[in-house]
Amino acid sequence: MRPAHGGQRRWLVLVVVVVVLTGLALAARSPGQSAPGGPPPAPGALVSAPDAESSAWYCTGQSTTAGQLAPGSIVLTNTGPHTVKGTIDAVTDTGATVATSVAVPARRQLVPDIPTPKSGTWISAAVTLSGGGVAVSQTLQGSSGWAEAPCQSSTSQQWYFPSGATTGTNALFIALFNPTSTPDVVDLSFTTSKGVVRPINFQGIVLQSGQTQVESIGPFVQDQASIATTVSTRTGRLVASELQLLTGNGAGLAIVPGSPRVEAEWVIPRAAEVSGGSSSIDVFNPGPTAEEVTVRTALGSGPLSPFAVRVPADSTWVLSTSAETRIPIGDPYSAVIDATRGPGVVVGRVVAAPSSAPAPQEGLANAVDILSAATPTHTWVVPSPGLATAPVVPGAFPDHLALTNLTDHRETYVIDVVEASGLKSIAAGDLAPSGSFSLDPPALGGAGLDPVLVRTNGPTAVSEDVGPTGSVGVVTMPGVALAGVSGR
Amino acid sequence: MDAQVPAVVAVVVTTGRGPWLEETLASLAAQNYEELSVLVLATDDEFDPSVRVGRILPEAFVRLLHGRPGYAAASNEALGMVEGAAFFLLCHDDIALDPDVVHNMVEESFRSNAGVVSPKFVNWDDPSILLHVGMNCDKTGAVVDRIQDGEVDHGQHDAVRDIFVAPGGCILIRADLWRELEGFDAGIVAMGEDLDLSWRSQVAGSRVVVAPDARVRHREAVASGLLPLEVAGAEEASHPVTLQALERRHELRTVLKCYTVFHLIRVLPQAALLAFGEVVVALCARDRQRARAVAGAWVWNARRLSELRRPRHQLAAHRLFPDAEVRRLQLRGSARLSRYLARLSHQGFEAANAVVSHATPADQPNGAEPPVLTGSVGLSFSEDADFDELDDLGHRSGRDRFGRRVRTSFLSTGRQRALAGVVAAVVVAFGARELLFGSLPIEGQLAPLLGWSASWHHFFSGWQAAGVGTTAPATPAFGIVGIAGTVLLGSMGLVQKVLLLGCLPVGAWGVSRFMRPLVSPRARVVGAICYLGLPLPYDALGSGRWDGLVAYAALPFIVARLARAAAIPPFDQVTGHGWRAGRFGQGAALGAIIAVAGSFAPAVFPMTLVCAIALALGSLMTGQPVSAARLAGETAKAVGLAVLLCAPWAVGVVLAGGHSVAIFGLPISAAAAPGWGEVTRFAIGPTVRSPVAWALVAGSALPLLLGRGIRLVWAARLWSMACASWVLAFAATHGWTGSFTPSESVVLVPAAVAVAAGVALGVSTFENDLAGLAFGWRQIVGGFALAAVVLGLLPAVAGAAGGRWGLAATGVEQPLSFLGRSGPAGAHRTLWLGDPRALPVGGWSVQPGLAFALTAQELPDSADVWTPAGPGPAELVSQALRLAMDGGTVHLGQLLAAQGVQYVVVVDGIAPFETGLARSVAAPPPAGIQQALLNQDDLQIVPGTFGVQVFRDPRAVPLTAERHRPLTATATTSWPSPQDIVGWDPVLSRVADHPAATGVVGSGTVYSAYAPAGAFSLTQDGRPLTRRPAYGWAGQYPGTSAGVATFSLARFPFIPLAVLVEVLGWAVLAAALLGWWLPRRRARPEEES
Repeated sequence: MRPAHGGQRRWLVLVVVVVVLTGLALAARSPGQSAPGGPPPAPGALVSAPDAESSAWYCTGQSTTAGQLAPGSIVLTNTGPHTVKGTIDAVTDTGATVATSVAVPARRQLVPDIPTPKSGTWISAAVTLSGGGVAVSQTLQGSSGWAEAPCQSSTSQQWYFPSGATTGTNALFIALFNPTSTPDVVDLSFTTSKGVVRPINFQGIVLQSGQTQVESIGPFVQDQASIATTVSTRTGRLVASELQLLTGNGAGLAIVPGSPRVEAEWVIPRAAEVSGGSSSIDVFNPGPTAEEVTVRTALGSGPLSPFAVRVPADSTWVLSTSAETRIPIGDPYSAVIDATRGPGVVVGRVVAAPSSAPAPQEGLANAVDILSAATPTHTWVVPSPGLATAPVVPGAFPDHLALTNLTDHRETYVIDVVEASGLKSIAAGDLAPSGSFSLDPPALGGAGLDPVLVRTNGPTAVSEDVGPTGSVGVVTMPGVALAGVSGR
Repeated sequence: MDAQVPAVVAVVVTTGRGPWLEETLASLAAQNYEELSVLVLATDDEFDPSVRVGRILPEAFVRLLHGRPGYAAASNEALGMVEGAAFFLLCHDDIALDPDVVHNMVEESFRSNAGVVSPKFVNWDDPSILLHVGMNCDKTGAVVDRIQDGEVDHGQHDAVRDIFVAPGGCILIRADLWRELEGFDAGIVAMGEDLDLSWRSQVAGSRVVVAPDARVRHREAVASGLLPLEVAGAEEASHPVTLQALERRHELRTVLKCYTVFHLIRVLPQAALLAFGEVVVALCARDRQRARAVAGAWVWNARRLSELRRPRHQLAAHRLFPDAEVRRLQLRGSARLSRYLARLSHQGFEAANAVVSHATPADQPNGAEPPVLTGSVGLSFSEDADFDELDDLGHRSGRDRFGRRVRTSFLSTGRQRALAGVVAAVVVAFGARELLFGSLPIEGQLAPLLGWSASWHHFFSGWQAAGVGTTAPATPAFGIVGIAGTVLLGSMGLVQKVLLLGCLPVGAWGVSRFMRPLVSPRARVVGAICYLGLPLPYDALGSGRWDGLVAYAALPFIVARLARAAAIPPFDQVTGHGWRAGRFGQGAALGAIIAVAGSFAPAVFPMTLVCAIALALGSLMTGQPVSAARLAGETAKAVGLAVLLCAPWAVGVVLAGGHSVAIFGLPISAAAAPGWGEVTRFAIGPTVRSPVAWALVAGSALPLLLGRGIRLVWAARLWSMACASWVLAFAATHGWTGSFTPSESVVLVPAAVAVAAGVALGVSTFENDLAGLAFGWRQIVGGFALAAVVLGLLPAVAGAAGGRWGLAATGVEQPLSFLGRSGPAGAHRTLWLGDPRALPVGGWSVQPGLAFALTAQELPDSADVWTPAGPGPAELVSQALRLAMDGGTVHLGQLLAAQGVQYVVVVDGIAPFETGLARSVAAPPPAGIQQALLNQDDLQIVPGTFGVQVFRDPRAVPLTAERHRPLTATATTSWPSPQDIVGWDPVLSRVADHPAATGVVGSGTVYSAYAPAGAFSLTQDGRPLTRRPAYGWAGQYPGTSAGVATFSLARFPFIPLAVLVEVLGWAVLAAALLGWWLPRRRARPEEES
């Protein structure tokens, strides 16, 4: 055996030490994985997994029957294989409450009858379900038209609305609903072409637990063609929706669920300019830093030259697509809006068809946010406006179901109709990289007023146009992402 | 004829029992002093020395005294018997004077105008060995010799000088002074009359000098044990009075007599404090005789205070020197304390406490002689480069005996090393100054300790409130804390500080002990200081980690014991004695250390194994393999013994199944894990995070680069240990070790030991391997290494500036102060969520980076910190949390209602965030937990809290509640439905640590949220009510009628009995290790001298 002070032994020890320390250093270069600490950031509407213990949805913005402005219905779409029971607790702005027990059959839609509250003009509802797999949406029908939109599945401390108008006789309402156990103190601010407006009446609004309140914006932010709204709480969390009554050249009604967060990418899967009509994409940057925003549009034949602009902090960029000559009239196109340099923006679309078009002629809706499009399950449900036997709006039917591939590789898609007996495939195929696909009648007609389930193998924006309307985008229903999928 | 010289009367007091009387008388007869008369006083009735005296010194006077008076009383008889003498020579009967002694002493008395003159005493058998050349004493009367034990007489002390004490045996005193002082104090039967006489002489204005030209051989027959102490009054009923006891009581008597009242007020408290400390140390060292002697001295004197009145008045009448002048002649400081510390520094604890082996030299396996005990600080000779400049207490003047200034190398003297230790201690104490004098925050594991009785109760109780309740036995840490609390009279705050902060010096001491066989005292001191200078203990302290600090204190001892148990050279040299020096004894000691440390820091168990493996690997690499089998065997035995000592707790841990490994630590999020740099420089806490600390690590590599022989071998072993520690710490924090994730503050301790020991080896390398070499690159590298070590200590020094070692000023007690006053006490529980490092309570993992704990609805205490390995039925809480985090529920409050969770507290970091101050260490909860909780419809946000986020569940069911309608009986685990959690009203009082409650209930159903439900019963009128299951873990008692009901734990006390056996095992082992039941012999310097 060599003596302890032999050179070889010393070098062996030194080499081992150096190797160990170097190995550690190299291993440390790969950053540690952050533990999955709860649900990832979720879109405002997300269908819980079918095996969830419970789930909740919040619908706000409807008027009561007595209020007449925009009474509506709640549509529950069960995508799972089991009946889901729940409770609908409705409350009006006067505090009147009604509770309705519901049981949503497996793979069926339900439009429950909610008793008329004793008093109140506006009504909000909390839908509490003893399971998951159920999407909840709402439809509104007023004198100026009808609209539908998903309800919201979570509360938030802030909500953003990129579009709105108080010009002429247009009326803009912000509906607030506090379904939590904690009182809220809420501030509203409005971003117009003249800057940010914070009317004193909308500062420090107190919403007790379970309280709903609807604010009419017109008297305080008058005659503005483009209003972006920010709802934020000083304490507590709530849900908020925007109700837009359009009574200009045409008529229309829009219910817009708020966006709980800014995002870096938004998608309009299908749009089209019509002769005599107008449309715009509203990009709202509520953040403290300017955003570099690019709008990339693509026709079926290929992409168009993008629009790019720098959107300052707390401002809105209104891209009047109908005024852009590079977008041909009548050709459907898709649009992807990217924001860089900051946390992101909120994007909406305002559409006005000629007054000669079928009602409703005007409407507005949010673009599809990337969180909804990139849901890990790559599955979306598109609720329909009522039951096949009893549509919430007479004559309402799906017009187009549009999909946009948000990846740079080819995707496959399967479009199923959710029927009580199971899923029935009505379309399947491939989506080209960054390409779009639109399922039009008569293929879509096979779905009737049954909900549609869209499955792909990658991030995809899903949106459905519901007719009859004057233009694409007047009444739309985005695909509602599923957090979990039950077996077929 | 008129005498030419003053008359001297030699007074010889004898018992006549020794054979030395003739030689004494012969030496007196041989004196060349003309006017010398001899008076022999015989004190033993049974012995008449007249014949013996007449044979040697026929002209001597002989007087027989009756009643066996002591030496002092007998000598005083001469006062009435002698007239006309100018001097008295007060002699023992076991001395032999050189022929010119009386002449020289008288001459020196005149020359120095001294009232008392002492000769130079030398050994009876070997006159070349000095015994005394005068003595000195301190303010408390502790006498100190001016020479070393066994010091050879080279004439080095042959200068006349003032002394404070003229040693008994042969004292020349002026007759007028002798009469003025009325002789010796007759109340002193033996031991101390010389101190008393000398002190009073100086108070009376007389000098006391030593005349070294006068040489006297002294047998010291009584002090050396040749003759028994046979004087009246020296016996007591219970214990024979020892010389030590006589010395202690008489020195205190002298103090009480000789100081004025004013000075007594100053000195007496100091003496009492020193005596108390000495008693404590003596008890710790199992030296009951010393403790009895010290304490008994105070009792003895207290009973005789009235006797002192007259001598005090008498002395006051003759007082010429004020106490201040007398004090100038005495030693400064405490002679006894100085001597103790010097021994501690030079010879270790056992020698300092005068504990010697009872084994004969033949018993020593390697033929080594037992340590030589000497009587004063001079025993540091062999290690001190400049003993020539030592004064009586080892104090240095900075000059040698020739007056030349002495140059010493750094830390080469015991004084310098002691000074370095004191400086290090001051820095550490300065850094902890606000902790010493303030209250500790509830942060990390620093929740307040249970009271002393509650700690005992918790230890012996068969039930813990952790989670929703469990019958898992508690960790022995509660027993240890209970003992400490009992000893410190229930001052649990003090217990906490002593145990926590005490880990720092204990750890440093451990490193010094570890390095003892390997390096020089200087290198040991440097290693210990470096151990103190590493960031690790302060990071553990700043993070509130008990486990890290306890491991810091224990692991140096564990590593040393491992080496000793495995007989790794040079630890194969047996240094102990008795069975403890054997392999079994070594293993038992190691097991005991592991058990104690593991009770507080369970990760010590696996880390002991890691250290053993690393030592073996390091040995293998250097070609000096240790016996792997022996190392493994001894380690396994020690760990096995430790597990056995903690058997009830260990069984409970094992029964936790898959949760068992959680006892070592909970996984943290890899994203928040410390990086490579932080791990290798021990910067895992809020303080001492500077990269400069790397310099210390780099400096410790010197022996690996330049060391030779055993230093290189040990450097390889240490670096192997360090690498294993670093790799495991990095892997565990990054989630590479699965569910085995021991706390990094424990895992890094072996690396810290290795670095500190490496520095000590580096110093040794300098001393041994570089000293003889010509100047070259090695010296340059060595110089850089030592400079790096000094540099590496600076961050710790800088970290001391804050005064808290990074510990926050306030913990969760401030934002959560409402917990204790929200609703009926104990009616609900609090759910804690956060990073495992941030939770102020012990808990269980939900996922890496997120742990949960359930406590009573009040601020946590130590019962919430040291929790069982498994959550038991509280696992349901974890499942509910996962469900919420997966978005699978919006009714978390409802799911947790059955557990009584009223508050959910999410802890943001190790210390609550204070506005304007940066967070110390990032230990946030996973980002999504807050979102998941905010998504819950039934949880209310509690506003106004900082550093924590609090949610309230208004529908939580009280822990003991009643309602009319029973629950649906469910045999299996299930979530409560909305109907299950409504209508409950609280009944009975809290259960908490005491599983019993009585209260009035109504008719209906009583629900109890305590597990295991089967261990509890609800009785009414002495009749147990039928229990039905609820949710698979709780209990409900339908059919109660209005009246008083009692809810109590009702099961056979298996666990308390098992714990009792465990305590007995600890006691037996402790007694064996401390040698309380084994015969032993103590060497006492006092007796030897």
